[in-house]
Amino acid sequence: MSTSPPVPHAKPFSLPTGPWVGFIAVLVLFTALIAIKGELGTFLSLGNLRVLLHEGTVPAIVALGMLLVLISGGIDLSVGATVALVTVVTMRVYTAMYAASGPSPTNSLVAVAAGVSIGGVCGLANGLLVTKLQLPPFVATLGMLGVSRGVATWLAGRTVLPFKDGGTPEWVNTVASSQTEFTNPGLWSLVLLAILTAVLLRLTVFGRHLYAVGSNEATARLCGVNVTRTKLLVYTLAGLLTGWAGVIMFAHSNSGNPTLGEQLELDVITAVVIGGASLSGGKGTVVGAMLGVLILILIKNGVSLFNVPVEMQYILIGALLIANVSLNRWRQGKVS
Amino acid sequence: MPRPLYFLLAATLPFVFGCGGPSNEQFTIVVIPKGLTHEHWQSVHRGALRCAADLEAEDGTRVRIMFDGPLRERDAMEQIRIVDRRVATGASGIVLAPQHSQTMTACVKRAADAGVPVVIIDSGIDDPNHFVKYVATNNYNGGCLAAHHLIGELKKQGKDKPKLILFRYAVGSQATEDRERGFEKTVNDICPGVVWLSTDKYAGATRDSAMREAGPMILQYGKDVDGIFAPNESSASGTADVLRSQGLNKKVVLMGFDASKPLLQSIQEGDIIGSILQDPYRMGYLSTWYCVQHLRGVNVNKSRTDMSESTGEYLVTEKNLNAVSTLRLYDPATQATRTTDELRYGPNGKPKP
Repeated sequence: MSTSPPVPHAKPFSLPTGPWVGFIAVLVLFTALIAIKGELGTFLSLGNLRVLLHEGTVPAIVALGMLLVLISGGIDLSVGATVALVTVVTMRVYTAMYAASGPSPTNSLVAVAAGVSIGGVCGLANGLLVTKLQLPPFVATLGMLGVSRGVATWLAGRTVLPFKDGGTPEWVNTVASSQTEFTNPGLWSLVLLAILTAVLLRLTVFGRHLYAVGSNEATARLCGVNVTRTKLLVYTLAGLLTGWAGVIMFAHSNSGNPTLGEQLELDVITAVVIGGASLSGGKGTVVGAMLGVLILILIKNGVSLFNVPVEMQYILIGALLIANVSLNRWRQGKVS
Repeated sequence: MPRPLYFLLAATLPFVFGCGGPSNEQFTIVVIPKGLTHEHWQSVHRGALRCAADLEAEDGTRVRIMFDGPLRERDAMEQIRIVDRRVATGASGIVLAPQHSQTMTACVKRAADAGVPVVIIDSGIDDPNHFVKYVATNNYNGGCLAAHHLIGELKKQGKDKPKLILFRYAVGSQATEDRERGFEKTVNDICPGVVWLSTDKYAGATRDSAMREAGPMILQYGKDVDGIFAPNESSASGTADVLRSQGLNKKVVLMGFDASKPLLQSIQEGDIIGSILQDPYRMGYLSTWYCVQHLRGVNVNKSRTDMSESTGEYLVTEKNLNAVSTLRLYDPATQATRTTDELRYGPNGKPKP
């Protein structure tokens, strides 16, 4: 792969098998464990499926952005802090407008737009640090993590910002409720964004450039790919996706909260890597990333529901990550 | 269609159609603390388990207690997720210690709308219409009690115009804000000459964060300050650590709230002058009891006119540290010897008329 010319993934339409193996392994493991306890009816129920989809929405949207960044050979450690910043900004804008003009749909629209834009601004800042200052993405986004978290805490006045009593707009309640998950706009926005991301990766020139830059940046540049522009764009896109995830988090948490999203970046990177993306770039698919998130959520859900000690979830996720990547390595070794 | 997709479809079939069998328990009560790390919540858990055991011994009612909370005390999102998850997966009732009085209202309402009764414990919630009962310490009284003891000790040292620090916990945490208000009000009432050196520092959720905040604060005021009130376990322990490390323990009078083994140790050694203890065991017991009674159709809140019940607050000092009246609040073995009547109906042991 690394010596070949910068074409997209060799077989872009093939499904990644690693994440499927992981997903089925986790599902079978939990089903078996829970069946022994005689509670399969709780785990494999429509109610729990709704909850799983609901809990997965935010990390899945962030994972789409992370996938783009990882394919380009970068990494984004700032997403968790950005999500927190977005919730705080959205709440600040909403309450300010609510105080000025009372309840009106424009408040929500402006607040959501502000939230998504602040996500985009954070992403753009990441992109500028990586391209203009030539910082390694790890360092640039680690710095942005601190900046975003700090600004979020400062903007929130070191506290959690709630809605004024009874001032919660209806859409927030709709998005926050998992009881009607199959018509939840948050979930459908994820479906739409996932399709768009897949189309972007597979059918557009930008998508091809992304794989090219991630596989071999020097070669891509020699072939005439505008590496700087591609990277700027990818970090900004990831930022906008994170911004949208932040808006959904804002609804789910019913607040602007600067402590939200701690370790979200690690969860999401884990999910995307389990889904077959590589930290060295040039690899990864939307289906894989979504499966990775599903595996993670499934583990958290199973551990929480069945009184398994909560520390088990970290051990399981860690072990699964290592097993999955080793499996991929081994398989590649057999091919070459 | 690639073969893995068939596997996936097969795997999701049971999700879609469900395959629940009847469980052999009558009630599943999910106890959701603010976090899992404080010993306070272990007592709540034991109290809930004791209630379940009592109910089964009485008339064979089977109550299953699920103890499920966020690992970290400030993980607000996770607590909301847990409530929703439990409502969706068949909890009969929920006992919840809300992390925030306003942000948790939406998920409590969702639970109530789905027909799952919620009993609120430990810390209040702003929406009064969607929970069944509120079982907690009267935190305002606890703050008053702390003020009386701290000022009393300082007066014994001849300090009639003490310089005090009120080291707050966090904004939006109703329980600790009540303690802070009770403390501040009582001190101003009984000791008009008081000088407040600092009342705007926040300890945050953990002992670590308390130490980070207390360090610079003690450096700044250490020479002047006579007394400090820290309104919960982590802030008191963190402050005690900082006082020790700066050699000011026993010189500065520190009053705490709640207990843990290290904190009680500090009281024994004199680094902390006293603490206000709650009765989390009874809180866990009573909340589970009310939840089950409500599920059985008993009108536990007199048609929403009697919504809250206090489980008491107790001053602990070096003197009564090992008395049974103190041990029963936190020591598992002593807790187990408490009588059912006392746990249900309070120190008199009789039902309220």
